[in-house]
Amino acid sequence: MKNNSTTKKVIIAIVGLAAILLPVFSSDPYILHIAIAILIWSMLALGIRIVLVSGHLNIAQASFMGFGAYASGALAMKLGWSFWICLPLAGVIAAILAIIVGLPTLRIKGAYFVIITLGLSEVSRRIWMMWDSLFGGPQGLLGIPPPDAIKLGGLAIMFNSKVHYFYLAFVLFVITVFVMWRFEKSRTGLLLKSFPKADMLAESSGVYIMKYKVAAFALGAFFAGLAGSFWAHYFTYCSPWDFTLMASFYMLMYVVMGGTGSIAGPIVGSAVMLTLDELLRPFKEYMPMILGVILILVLRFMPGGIISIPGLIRDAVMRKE
Amino acid sequence: MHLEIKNIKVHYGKVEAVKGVSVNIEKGTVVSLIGGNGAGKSTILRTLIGLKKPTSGEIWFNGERIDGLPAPQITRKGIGYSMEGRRIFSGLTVHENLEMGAYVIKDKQEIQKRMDEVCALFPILRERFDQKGGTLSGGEQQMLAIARAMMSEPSLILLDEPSLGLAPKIVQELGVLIRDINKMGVSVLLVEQNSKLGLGVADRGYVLEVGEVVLEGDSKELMANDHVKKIYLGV
Repeated sequence: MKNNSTTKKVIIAIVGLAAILLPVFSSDPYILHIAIAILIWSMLALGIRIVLVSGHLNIAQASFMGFGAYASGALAMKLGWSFWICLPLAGVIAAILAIIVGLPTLRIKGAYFVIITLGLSEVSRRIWMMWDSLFGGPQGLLGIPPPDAIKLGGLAIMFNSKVHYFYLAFVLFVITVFVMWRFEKSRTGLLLKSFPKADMLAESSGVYIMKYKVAAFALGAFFAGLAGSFWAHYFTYCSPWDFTLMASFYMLMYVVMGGTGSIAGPIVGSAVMLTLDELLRPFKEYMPMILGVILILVLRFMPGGIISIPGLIRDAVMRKE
Repeated sequence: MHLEIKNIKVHYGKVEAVKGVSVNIEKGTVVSLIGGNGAGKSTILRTLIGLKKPTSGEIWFNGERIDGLPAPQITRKGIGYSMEGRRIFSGLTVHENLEMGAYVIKDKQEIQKRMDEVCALFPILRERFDQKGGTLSGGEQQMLAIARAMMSEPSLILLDEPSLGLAPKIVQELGVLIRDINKMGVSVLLVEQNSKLGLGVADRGYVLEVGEVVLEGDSKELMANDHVKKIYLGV
Protein backbone atom coordinates (compact mmCIF):
# COMPACT_ATOMS: atom_id res chain seq x y z
CA MET A 1 0.00 0.00 0.00
CA LYS A 2 2.68 2.44 1.06
CA ASN A 3 4.87 1.53 -1.91
CA ASN A 4 1.96 2.08 -4.18
CA SER A 5 1.36 5.61 -2.96
CA THR A 6 5.07 6.52 -3.24
CA THR A 7 5.09 5.27 -6.82
CA LYS A 8 2.03 7.40 -7.43
CA LYS A 9 3.73 10.46 -5.99
CA VAL A 10 6.82 9.87 -8.13
CA ILE A 11 4.70 9.50 -11.27
CA ILE A 12 2.76 12.68 -10.47
CA ALA A 13 6.03 14.55 -9.84
CA ILE A 14 7.60 13.37 -13.10
CA VAL A 15 4.53 14.14 -15.20
CA GLY A 16 4.13 17.50 -13.50
CA LEU A 17 7.76 18.42 -14.05
CA ALA A 18 7.61 17.33 -17.68
CA ALA A 19 4.52 19.47 -18.15
CA ILE A 20 6.12 22.52 -16.54
CA LEU A 21 9.23 22.16 -18.68
CA LEU A 22 7.33 21.45 -21.91
CA PRO A 23 7.77 24.99 -23.31
CA VAL A 24 11.52 24.71 -22.74
CA PHE A 25 11.71 21.64 -24.97
CA SER A 26 9.35 22.83 -27.61
CA SER A 27 8.21 26.29 -28.47
CA ASP A 28 6.24 24.92 -31.40
CA PRO A 29 2.86 26.70 -31.14
CA TYR A 30 1.11 23.61 -32.50
CA ILE A 31 2.41 21.36 -29.71
CA LEU A 32 1.67 24.02 -27.12
CA HIS A 33 -1.85 24.43 -28.42
CA ILE A 34 -2.53 20.71 -28.04
CA ALA A 35 -1.06 20.79 -24.53
CA ILE A 36 -3.34 23.72 -23.63
CA ALA A 37 -6.35 21.85 -25.02
CA ILE A 38 -5.48 18.79 -22.95
CA LEU A 39 -5.24 20.87 -19.77
CA ILE A 40 -8.52 22.69 -20.40
CA TRP A 41 -10.42 19.60 -21.51
CA SER A 42 -9.17 17.77 -18.42
CA MET A 43 -10.75 20.46 -16.27
CA LEU A 44 -14.06 19.94 -18.03
CA ALA A 45 -13.85 16.16 -17.85
CA LEU A 46 -13.03 16.29 -14.13
CA GLY A 47 -16.16 18.36 -13.64
CA ILE A 48 -18.26 15.70 -15.34
CA ARG A 49 -16.68 12.96 -13.28
CA ILE A 50 -17.39 14.51 -9.89
CA VAL A 51 -21.11 14.54 -10.75
CA LEU A 52 -20.88 11.03 -12.17
CA VAL A 53 -19.41 9.82 -8.88
CA SER A 54 -22.55 10.96 -7.06
CA GLY A 55 -24.67 8.94 -9.47
CA HIS A 56 -25.76 11.54 -12.01
CA LEU A 57 -24.87 12.11 -15.63
CA ASN A 58 -24.35 15.70 -16.74
CA ILE A 59 -24.35 16.12 -20.52
CA ALA A 60 -24.44 19.90 -20.45
CA GLN A 61 -20.84 20.45 -19.39
CA ALA A 62 -20.11 22.25 -22.67
CA SER A 63 -23.03 24.60 -21.93
CA PHE A 64 -21.50 25.55 -18.59
CA MET A 65 -18.24 26.13 -20.40
CA GLY A 66 -20.17 28.23 -22.90
CA PHE A 67 -21.86 30.31 -20.21
CA GLY A 68 -18.44 30.94 -18.70
CA ALA A 69 -17.03 31.89 -22.09
CA TYR A 70 -19.92 34.18 -23.05
CA ALA A 71 -20.20 35.80 -19.63
CA SER A 72 -16.50 36.51 -19.58
CA GLY A 73 -16.39 37.65 -23.20
CA ALA A 74 -19.44 39.90 -22.91
CA LEU A 75 -18.26 41.50 -19.67
CA ALA A 76 -14.85 42.18 -21.14
CA MET A 77 -16.18 43.54 -24.43
CA LYS A 78 -19.27 45.49 -23.34
CA LEU A 79 -18.09 46.73 -19.96
CA GLY A 80 -14.36 46.62 -20.57
CA TRP A 81 -13.69 44.57 -17.46
CA SER A 82 -10.31 42.96 -16.99
CA PHE A 83 -9.90 39.27 -17.75
CA TRP A 84 -8.70 38.73 -14.21
CA ILE A 85 -12.11 39.78 -12.89
CA CYS A 86 -14.07 38.07 -15.65
CA LEU A 87 -12.33 34.71 -15.11
CA PRO A 88 -13.53 34.02 -11.55
CA LEU A 89 -16.89 35.63 -12.32
CA ALA A 90 -17.37 33.23 -15.23
CA GLY A 91 -16.85 30.33 -12.83
CA VAL A 92 -19.26 31.77 -10.30
CA ILE A 93 -21.94 32.42 -12.94
CA ALA A 94 -21.69 28.85 -14.23
CA ALA A 95 -21.86 27.52 -10.66
CA ILE A 96 -24.96 29.59 -9.83
CA LEU A 97 -26.59 28.31 -12.99
CA ALA A 98 -25.78 24.74 -11.92
CA ILE A 99 -27.36 25.35 -8.52
CA ILE A 100 -30.54 26.69 -10.15
CA VAL A 101 -30.72 23.70 -12.49
CA GLY A 102 -29.61 21.16 -9.90
CA LEU A 103 -31.87 22.03 -6.98
CA PRO A 104 -35.12 20.81 -8.54
CA THR A 105 -33.66 18.04 -10.71
CA LEU A 106 -31.01 16.24 -8.65
CA ARG A 107 -33.78 15.42 -6.18
CA ILE A 108 -35.39 12.96 -8.57
CA LYS A 109 -33.95 9.55 -9.28
CA GLY A 110 -33.71 8.16 -12.77
CA ALA A 111 -33.12 9.77 -16.12
CA TYR A 112 -34.64 13.18 -15.39
CA PHE A 113 -31.38 14.92 -14.65
CA VAL A 114 -29.85 13.68 -17.90
CA ILE A 115 -32.90 14.88 -19.82
CA ILE A 116 -32.76 18.30 -18.16
CA THR A 117 -29.07 18.71 -18.98
CA LEU A 118 -29.82 17.60 -22.52
CA GLY A 119 -32.45 20.32 -22.69
CA LEU A 120 -30.07 22.84 -21.21
CA SER A 121 -27.58 22.15 -24.01
CA GLU A 122 -30.13 23.06 -26.61
CA VAL A 123 -31.70 25.98 -24.73
CA SER A 124 -28.35 27.59 -24.04
CA ARG A 125 -27.29 27.29 -27.67
CA ARG A 126 -30.56 28.97 -28.70
CA ILE A 127 -30.05 31.79 -26.23
CA TRP A 128 -26.61 32.56 -27.66
CA MET A 129 -27.94 32.33 -31.21
CA MET A 130 -30.95 34.58 -30.68
CA TRP A 131 -29.57 37.22 -28.37
CA ASP A 132 -27.70 39.22 -30.99
CA SER A 133 -27.11 42.37 -28.99
CA LEU A 134 -25.39 40.66 -26.09
CA PHE A 135 -23.95 37.42 -27.49
CA GLY A 136 -23.49 38.31 -31.16
CA GLY A 137 -25.95 35.76 -32.54
CA PRO A 138 -24.83 32.90 -34.79
CA GLN A 139 -21.44 34.41 -35.51
CA GLY A 140 -20.66 34.75 -31.81
CA LEU A 141 -18.47 37.22 -30.01
CA LEU A 142 -15.55 38.44 -32.07
CA GLY A 143 -12.60 40.37 -30.72
CA ILE A 144 -12.64 39.32 -27.08
CA PRO A 145 -9.56 41.00 -25.57
CA PRO A 146 -6.67 38.78 -24.45
CA PRO A 147 -5.79 38.80 -20.72
CA ASP A 148 -4.17 42.01 -19.49
CA ALA A 149 -0.45 41.80 -18.96
CA ILE A 150 0.75 40.88 -15.49
CA LYS A 151 3.78 42.74 -14.22
CA LEU A 152 5.84 40.84 -11.68
CA GLY A 153 8.63 43.21 -10.73
CA GLY A 154 10.64 43.69 -13.90
CA LEU A 155 9.05 40.69 -15.60
CA ALA A 156 5.95 41.29 -17.67
CA ILE A 157 3.72 38.49 -18.92
CA MET A 158 2.11 39.95 -22.00
CA PHE A 159 0.06 36.99 -23.26
CA ASN A 160 1.51 37.47 -26.71
CA SER A 161 2.84 33.92 -27.01
CA LYS A 162 1.32 30.50 -26.51
CA VAL A 163 3.85 29.82 -23.75
CA HIS A 164 2.11 32.33 -21.50
CA TYR A 165 -1.27 30.82 -22.18
CA PHE A 166 0.16 27.40 -21.52
CA TYR A 167 1.30 28.42 -18.06
CA LEU A 168 -2.02 30.09 -17.32
CA ALA A 169 -3.87 26.92 -18.38
CA PHE A 170 -1.46 24.87 -16.30
CA VAL A 171 -2.17 26.94 -13.18
CA LEU A 172 -5.93 26.63 -13.71
CA PHE A 173 -5.53 22.90 -14.25
CA VAL A 174 -3.48 22.43 -11.09
CA ILE A 175 -6.05 24.39 -9.06
CA THR A 176 -8.81 22.19 -10.47
CA VAL A 177 -6.98 18.97 -9.68
CA PHE A 178 -6.09 20.15 -6.20
CA VAL A 179 -9.64 21.20 -5.33
CA MET A 180 -11.14 18.01 -6.80
CA TRP A 181 -8.63 15.92 -4.88
CA ARG A 182 -9.33 17.65 -1.57
CA PHE A 183 -13.07 17.46 -2.20
CA GLU A 184 -12.90 13.75 -2.90
CA LYS A 185 -10.70 12.89 0.07
CA SER A 186 -12.91 14.82 2.46
CA ARG A 187 -15.88 13.40 4.30
CA THR A 188 -18.03 14.99 1.63
CA GLY A 189 -16.25 13.00 -1.06
CA LEU A 190 -16.61 9.73 0.81
CA LEU A 191 -20.30 10.44 1.20
CA LEU A 192 -20.73 11.41 -2.42
CA LYS A 193 -19.34 8.09 -3.58
CA SER A 194 -21.84 6.21 -1.44
CA PHE A 195 -24.90 7.89 -2.98
CA PRO A 196 -25.39 5.71 -6.07
CA LYS A 197 -25.74 2.58 -3.93
CA ALA A 198 -26.61 3.78 -0.46
CA ASP A 199 -28.43 7.11 -0.65
CA MET A 200 -31.15 6.04 1.77
CA LEU A 201 -28.56 4.78 4.20
CA ALA A 202 -26.83 8.15 4.03
CA GLU A 203 -30.12 9.99 4.53
CA SER A 204 -31.02 7.92 7.54
CA SER A 205 -27.54 8.64 8.95
CA GLY A 206 -28.60 12.28 8.99
CA VAL A 207 -27.03 13.44 5.72
CA TYR A 208 -28.88 15.97 3.59
CA ILE A 209 -27.76 14.36 0.37
CA MET A 210 -29.15 17.07 -1.88
CA LYS A 211 -26.69 19.55 -0.43
CA TYR A 212 -23.77 17.38 -1.49
CA LYS A 213 -25.12 16.52 -4.92
CA VAL A 214 -25.76 20.18 -5.73
CA ALA A 215 -22.33 21.11 -4.35
CA ALA A 216 -20.64 18.57 -6.62
CA PHE A 217 -22.61 19.76 -9.63
CA ALA A 218 -21.83 23.40 -8.89
CA LEU A 219 -18.15 22.59 -8.39
CA GLY A 220 -17.97 20.86 -11.77
CA ALA A 221 -19.76 23.79 -13.40
CA PHE A 222 -17.49 26.32 -11.72
CA PHE A 223 -14.40 24.82 -13.32
CA ALA A 224 -16.24 24.50 -16.63
CA GLY A 225 -16.92 28.24 -16.36
CA LEU A 226 -13.25 28.95 -15.73
CA ALA A 227 -12.29 26.75 -18.68
CA GLY A 228 -14.79 28.59 -20.87
CA SER A 229 -13.51 31.99 -19.86
CA PHE A 230 -9.94 30.94 -20.59
CA TRP A 231 -10.96 29.48 -23.94
CA ALA A 232 -12.79 32.65 -25.02
CA HIS A 233 -9.92 34.99 -24.17
CA TYR A 234 -7.36 32.57 -25.61
CA PHE A 235 -9.10 32.42 -29.00
CA THR A 236 -10.42 36.01 -28.62
CA TYR A 237 -13.59 34.52 -30.07
CA CYS A 238 -16.49 32.28 -29.11
CA SER A 239 -19.61 31.10 -30.91
CA PRO A 240 -22.65 28.91 -30.22
CA TRP A 241 -21.03 26.15 -32.28
CA ASP A 242 -18.20 25.72 -29.80
CA PHE A 243 -20.35 24.53 -26.92
CA THR A 244 -22.73 22.00 -28.39
CA LEU A 245 -24.11 18.75 -27.06
CA MET A 246 -21.50 16.99 -29.17
CA ALA A 247 -18.73 18.78 -27.29
CA SER A 248 -20.25 17.53 -24.02
CA PHE A 249 -20.32 14.00 -25.41
CA TYR A 250 -16.63 14.25 -26.24
CA MET A 251 -15.86 15.36 -22.69
CA LEU A 252 -17.90 12.48 -21.32
CA MET A 253 -16.04 10.14 -23.62
CA TYR A 254 -12.70 11.31 -22.25
CA VAL A 255 -13.96 10.51 -18.75
CA VAL A 256 -15.15 7.02 -19.67
CA MET A 257 -12.04 6.26 -21.77
CA GLY A 258 -9.68 7.36 -19.05
CA GLY A 259 -11.61 5.71 -16.26
CA THR A 260 -14.13 7.04 -13.76
CA GLY A 261 -12.49 5.46 -10.73
CA SER A 262 -9.96 8.17 -9.99
CA ILE A 263 -9.03 11.77 -10.67
CA ALA A 264 -6.23 10.64 -12.97
CA GLY A 265 -8.78 8.94 -15.26
CA PRO A 266 -10.30 11.97 -16.99
CA ILE A 267 -6.85 13.58 -17.30
CA VAL A 268 -5.33 10.51 -18.94
CA GLY A 269 -8.47 10.15 -21.07
CA SER A 270 -8.26 13.75 -22.31
CA ALA A 271 -4.54 13.46 -23.00
CA VAL A 272 -4.78 10.19 -24.93
CA MET A 273 -7.90 11.08 -26.87
CA LEU A 274 -6.84 14.59 -27.86
CA THR A 275 -3.44 13.30 -28.97
CA LEU A 276 -5.13 10.55 -30.93
CA ASP A 277 -7.42 13.15 -32.45
CA GLU A 278 -4.40 15.06 -33.75
CA LEU A 279 -2.57 11.97 -35.00
CA LEU A 280 -5.63 10.85 -36.91
CA ARG A 281 -6.28 14.28 -38.38
CA PRO A 282 -5.94 13.01 -41.98
CA PHE A 283 -9.01 10.86 -41.33
CA LYS A 284 -10.98 13.72 -39.83
CA GLU A 285 -14.31 12.74 -41.41
CA TYR A 286 -14.10 9.25 -40.01
CA MET A 287 -13.11 10.42 -36.54
CA PRO A 288 -16.47 9.92 -34.79
CA MET A 289 -16.60 6.40 -36.21
CA ILE A 290 -13.08 5.53 -35.16
CA LEU A 291 -13.61 6.97 -31.69
CA GLY A 292 -16.87 5.06 -31.41
CA VAL A 293 -15.14 1.77 -32.11
CA ILE A 294 -12.35 2.58 -29.65
CA LEU A 295 -14.93 3.47 -27.02
CA ILE A 296 -16.75 0.17 -27.48
CA LEU A 297 -13.48 -1.76 -27.27
CA VAL A 298 -12.42 0.06 -24.11
CA LEU A 299 -15.77 -0.54 -22.44
CA ARG A 300 -15.74 -4.20 -23.45
CA PHE A 301 -12.17 -5.11 -22.49
CA MET A 302 -11.33 -2.61 -19.78
CA PRO A 303 -14.36 -1.06 -18.15
CA GLY A 304 -12.01 0.66 -15.71
CA GLY A 305 -10.66 2.74 -18.58
CA ILE A 306 -7.15 3.35 -19.88
CA ILE A 307 -5.98 4.00 -16.36
CA SER A 308 -6.72 0.39 -15.39
CA ILE A 309 -4.21 -1.03 -17.91
CA PRO A 310 -1.29 -1.40 -15.45
CA GLY A 311 -3.57 -3.21 -13.02
CA LEU A 312 -4.87 -5.51 -15.75
CA ILE A 313 -1.32 -6.37 -16.82
CA ARG A 314 -0.32 -7.05 -13.21
CA ASP A 315 -3.31 -9.35 -12.77
CA ALA A 316 -2.48 -11.21 -15.99
CA VAL A 317 1.14 -11.72 -14.90
CA MET A 318 0.09 -12.92 -11.48
CA ARG A 319 -2.35 -15.39 -12.96
CA LYS A 320 0.40 -16.83 -15.15
CA GLU A 321 2.62 -17.34 -12.13
CA MET B 1 -44.74 7.39 25.74
CA HIS B 2 -41.51 7.33 23.75
CA LEU B 3 -43.03 6.70 20.35
CA GLU B 4 -46.65 6.75 19.30
CA ILE B 5 -47.81 5.72 15.86
CA LYS B 6 -51.44 6.72 15.46
CA ASN B 7 -53.40 4.99 12.75
CA ILE B 8 -50.96 5.48 9.87
CA LYS B 9 -51.73 4.53 6.31
CA VAL B 10 -48.95 4.22 3.72
CA HIS B 11 -49.36 3.76 -0.01
CA TYR B 12 -47.01 2.67 -2.77
CA GLY B 13 -48.77 4.18 -5.76
CA LYS B 14 -52.32 2.90 -5.41
CA VAL B 15 -51.39 -0.09 -3.28
CA GLU B 16 -52.09 0.37 0.39
CA ALA B 17 -49.18 -1.31 2.17
CA VAL B 18 -50.08 -0.18 5.67
CA LYS B 19 -53.79 0.05 6.43
CA GLY B 20 -54.11 2.09 9.58
CA VAL B 21 -51.59 0.76 12.08
CA SER B 22 -51.08 2.05 15.62
CA VAL B 23 -47.99 1.12 17.64
CA ASN B 24 -46.84 2.41 21.02
CA ILE B 25 -43.40 2.14 22.58
CA GLU B 26 -42.77 2.94 26.24
CA LYS B 27 -39.40 4.43 27.08
CA GLY B 28 -36.73 1.77 27.59
CA THR B 29 -38.68 -1.18 26.21
CA VAL B 30 -38.19 -3.57 23.32
CA VAL B 31 -41.13 -3.87 20.95
CA SER B 32 -41.34 -6.34 18.07
CA LEU B 33 -43.35 -6.25 14.88
CA ILE B 34 -43.66 -9.74 13.49
CA GLY B 35 -45.36 -11.04 10.39
CA GLY B 36 -44.66 -12.57 7.00
CA ASN B 37 -43.59 -11.04 3.70
CA GLY B 38 -45.69 -8.11 2.61
CA ALA B 39 -47.18 -7.52 6.03
CA GLY B 40 -45.97 -3.93 5.93
CA LYS B 41 -43.37 -4.19 8.69
CA SER B 42 -40.48 -2.63 6.82
CA THR B 43 -42.75 0.04 5.38
CA ILE B 44 -43.64 1.12 8.90
CA LEU B 45 -39.97 1.55 9.76
CA ARG B 46 -39.26 3.46 6.55
CA THR B 47 -42.15 5.75 7.34
CA LEU B 48 -40.92 6.25 10.88
CA ILE B 49 -37.46 7.36 9.75
CA GLY B 50 -38.91 9.60 7.04
CA LEU B 51 -37.87 7.75 3.89
CA LYS B 52 -41.55 7.30 3.10
CA LYS B 53 -44.40 9.67 3.82
CA PRO B 54 -47.63 8.36 5.34
CA THR B 55 -50.86 9.18 3.48
CA SER B 56 -52.66 9.69 6.76
CA GLY B 57 -52.13 9.26 10.48
CA GLU B 58 -49.67 10.76 12.93
CA ILE B 59 -46.30 9.82 14.41
CA TRP B 60 -45.24 11.32 17.73
CA PHE B 61 -41.74 10.94 19.13
CA ASN B 62 -40.91 12.32 22.58
CA GLY B 63 -44.06 14.42 22.45
CA GLU B 64 -43.17 15.90 19.06
CA ARG B 65 -44.91 15.23 15.80
CA ILE B 66 -42.43 13.84 13.27
CA ASP B 67 -44.41 12.37 10.38
CA GLY B 68 -43.59 14.01 7.07
CA LEU B 69 -40.22 15.34 8.22
CA PRO B 70 -37.22 14.45 6.03
CA ALA B 71 -35.05 11.54 7.19
CA PRO B 72 -31.95 13.54 8.17
CA GLN B 73 -34.05 15.67 10.50
CA ILE B 74 -35.67 12.67 12.16
CA THR B 75 -32.25 11.07 12.69
CA ARG B 76 -31.19 14.22 14.51
CA LYS B 77 -34.09 13.85 16.91
CA GLY B 78 -32.56 10.63 18.20
CA ILE B 79 -33.78 7.72 16.10
CA GLY B 80 -31.25 5.23 14.75
CA TYR B 81 -32.12 3.00 11.83
CA SER B 82 -30.48 -0.23 10.75
CA MET B 83 -31.77 -1.00 7.27
CA GLU B 84 -33.00 -4.29 5.93
CA GLY B 85 -30.44 -6.47 4.18
CA ARG B 86 -27.38 -5.39 6.22
CA ARG B 87 -27.06 -2.10 4.41
CA ILE B 88 -23.66 -0.61 5.10
CA PHE B 89 -21.27 1.57 3.09
CA SER B 90 -19.49 -1.42 1.56
CA GLY B 91 -16.73 0.66 -0.05
CA LEU B 92 -15.81 2.28 3.25
CA THR B 93 -13.86 0.71 6.10
CA VAL B 94 -15.52 -0.34 9.34
CA HIS B 95 -14.05 2.74 10.96
CA GLU B 96 -15.40 5.05 8.26
CA ASN B 97 -18.78 3.37 8.42
CA LEU B 98 -18.98 4.09 12.13
CA GLU B 99 -17.88 7.67 11.51
CA MET B 100 -20.68 8.07 9.00
CA GLY B 101 -23.07 6.73 11.61
CA ALA B 102 -21.95 9.56 13.86
CA TYR B 103 -22.53 12.10 11.10
CA VAL B 104 -24.94 14.14 13.21
CA ILE B 105 -22.39 14.49 16.02
CA LYS B 106 -19.99 17.34 15.32
CA ASP B 107 -17.68 17.11 18.34
CA LYS B 108 -14.64 14.89 17.54
CA GLN B 109 -14.10 13.83 21.15
CA GLU B 110 -17.73 12.90 21.47
CA ILE B 111 -17.45 10.74 18.34
CA GLN B 112 -14.39 8.98 19.76
CA LYS B 113 -16.17 8.35 23.04
CA ARG B 114 -19.16 6.98 21.19
CA MET B 115 -16.89 4.81 19.02
CA ASP B 116 -15.37 3.23 22.16
CA GLU B 117 -18.79 2.56 23.67
CA VAL B 118 -20.12 0.97 20.52
CA CYS B 119 -16.98 -1.12 19.97
CA ALA B 120 -17.34 -2.42 23.54
CA LEU B 121 -20.72 -3.76 22.45
CA PHE B 122 -19.31 -5.21 19.23
CA PRO B 123 -15.75 -6.36 19.99
CA ILE B 124 -15.48 -8.08 16.59
CA LEU B 125 -15.66 -4.71 14.84
CA ARG B 126 -12.57 -3.50 16.69
CA GLU B 127 -10.62 -6.38 15.10
CA ARG B 128 -11.90 -5.46 11.64
CA PHE B 129 -11.45 -1.72 12.09
CA ASP B 130 -9.59 -0.95 8.84
CA GLN B 131 -11.23 -3.59 6.71
CA LYS B 132 -13.67 -2.57 3.96
CA GLY B 133 -17.28 -3.12 5.01
CA GLY B 134 -17.96 -5.25 1.95
CA THR B 135 -15.30 -7.80 2.93
CA LEU B 136 -16.93 -8.71 6.24
CA SER B 137 -18.93 -11.90 6.76
CA GLY B 138 -22.72 -11.70 6.81
CA GLY B 139 -22.92 -11.73 10.58
CA GLU B 140 -20.22 -9.10 10.91
CA GLN B 141 -21.94 -6.88 8.37
CA GLN B 142 -25.14 -7.11 10.36
CA MET B 143 -23.26 -6.16 13.54
CA LEU B 144 -21.75 -3.23 11.66
CA ALA B 145 -25.17 -2.15 10.39
CA ILE B 146 -26.51 -2.08 13.95
CA ALA B 147 -23.35 -0.48 15.34
CA ARG B 148 -23.57 2.24 12.69
CA ALA B 149 -27.14 3.01 13.73
CA MET B 150 -26.02 3.17 17.36
CA MET B 151 -23.29 5.71 16.62
CA SER B 152 -25.63 8.70 16.50
CA GLU B 153 -26.49 8.06 20.16
CA PRO B 154 -30.17 7.38 19.49
CA SER B 155 -32.77 7.00 22.23
CA LEU B 156 -34.75 4.71 19.93
CA ILE B 157 -33.28 2.28 17.45
CA LEU B 158 -35.16 0.65 14.58
CA LEU B 159 -33.85 -2.76 13.52
CA ASP B 160 -35.16 -4.13 10.25
CA GLU B 161 -34.84 -7.92 10.00
CA PRO B 162 -31.42 -8.22 11.60
CA SER B 163 -31.57 -12.03 11.65
CA LEU B 164 -32.15 -12.41 7.91
CA GLY B 165 -29.77 -15.00 6.44
CA LEU B 166 -27.71 -15.46 9.57
CA ALA B 167 -26.61 -18.77 11.12
CA PRO B 168 -28.70 -19.89 14.15
CA LYS B 169 -25.82 -19.37 16.53
CA ILE B 170 -25.37 -15.79 15.40
CA VAL B 171 -29.10 -15.20 15.68
CA GLN B 172 -28.80 -16.19 19.35
CA GLU B 173 -25.95 -13.73 19.83
CA LEU B 174 -28.11 -11.10 18.19
CA GLY B 175 -30.80 -11.66 20.80
CA VAL B 176 -28.30 -11.07 23.59
CA LEU B 177 -27.00 -8.00 21.82
CA ILE B 178 -30.44 -6.44 21.46
CA ARG B 179 -30.93 -6.93 25.18
CA ASP B 180 -27.54 -5.28 25.84
CA ILE B 181 -28.48 -2.29 23.72
CA ASN B 182 -31.75 -2.03 25.62
CA LYS B 183 -29.87 -2.14 28.93
CA MET B 184 -28.04 1.02 27.84
CA GLY B 185 -31.42 2.74 28.07
CA VAL B 186 -32.22 2.63 24.37
CA SER B 187 -35.74 1.71 23.27
CA VAL B 188 -35.79 -0.84 20.47
CA LEU B 189 -38.31 -1.35 17.69
CA LEU B 190 -37.52 -4.68 16.10
CA VAL B 191 -39.00 -5.96 12.87
CA GLU B 192 -38.61 -9.72 12.43
CA GLN B 193 -39.79 -12.64 10.39
CA ASN B 194 -37.99 -14.86 12.86
CA SER B 195 -40.81 -14.69 15.39
CA LYS B 196 -38.94 -16.73 17.97
CA LEU B 197 -36.21 -14.10 18.13
CA GLY B 198 -38.68 -11.26 17.73
CA LEU B 199 -40.98 -12.24 20.57
CA GLY B 200 -38.23 -13.86 22.64
CA VAL B 201 -36.33 -10.65 23.08
CA ALA B 202 -39.25 -8.20 23.24
CA ASP B 203 -41.37 -6.84 26.05
CA ARG B 204 -44.34 -6.26 23.79
CA GLY B 205 -45.22 -7.49 20.37
CA TYR B 206 -47.48 -6.72 17.42
CA VAL B 207 -48.48 -9.29 14.83
CA LEU B 208 -49.04 -7.83 11.37
CA GLU B 209 -50.88 -9.42 8.49
CA VAL B 210 -51.31 -7.67 5.12
CA GLY B 211 -50.88 -4.18 6.50
CA GLU B 212 -52.96 -4.54 9.64
CA VAL B 213 -52.31 -5.36 13.27
CA VAL B 214 -54.15 -8.59 14.00
CA LEU B 215 -52.77 -9.16 17.50
CA GLU B 216 -50.89 -7.15 20.07
CA GLY B 217 -49.85 -7.52 23.67
CA ASP B 218 -47.26 -8.70 26.11
CA SER B 219 -44.80 -10.86 24.20
CA LYS B 220 -45.11 -13.79 26.64
CA GLU B 221 -48.87 -13.77 26.16
CA LEU B 222 -48.44 -13.60 22.41
CA MET B 223 -46.14 -16.60 22.48
CA ALA B 224 -48.83 -18.53 24.33
CA ASN B 225 -51.50 -17.49 21.82
CA ASP B 226 -52.75 -20.35 19.66
CA HIS B 227 -52.80 -18.41 16.39
CA VAL B 228 -49.24 -17.20 16.92
CA LYS B 229 -48.09 -20.67 17.95
CA LYS B 230 -49.54 -22.28 14.90
CA ILE B 231 -48.63 -19.73 12.21
CA TYR B 232 -45.50 -18.03 13.50
CA LEU B 233 -43.73 -20.31 15.93
CA GLY B 234 -44.54 -23.58 14.21
CA VAL B 235 -45.21 -25.42 17.46
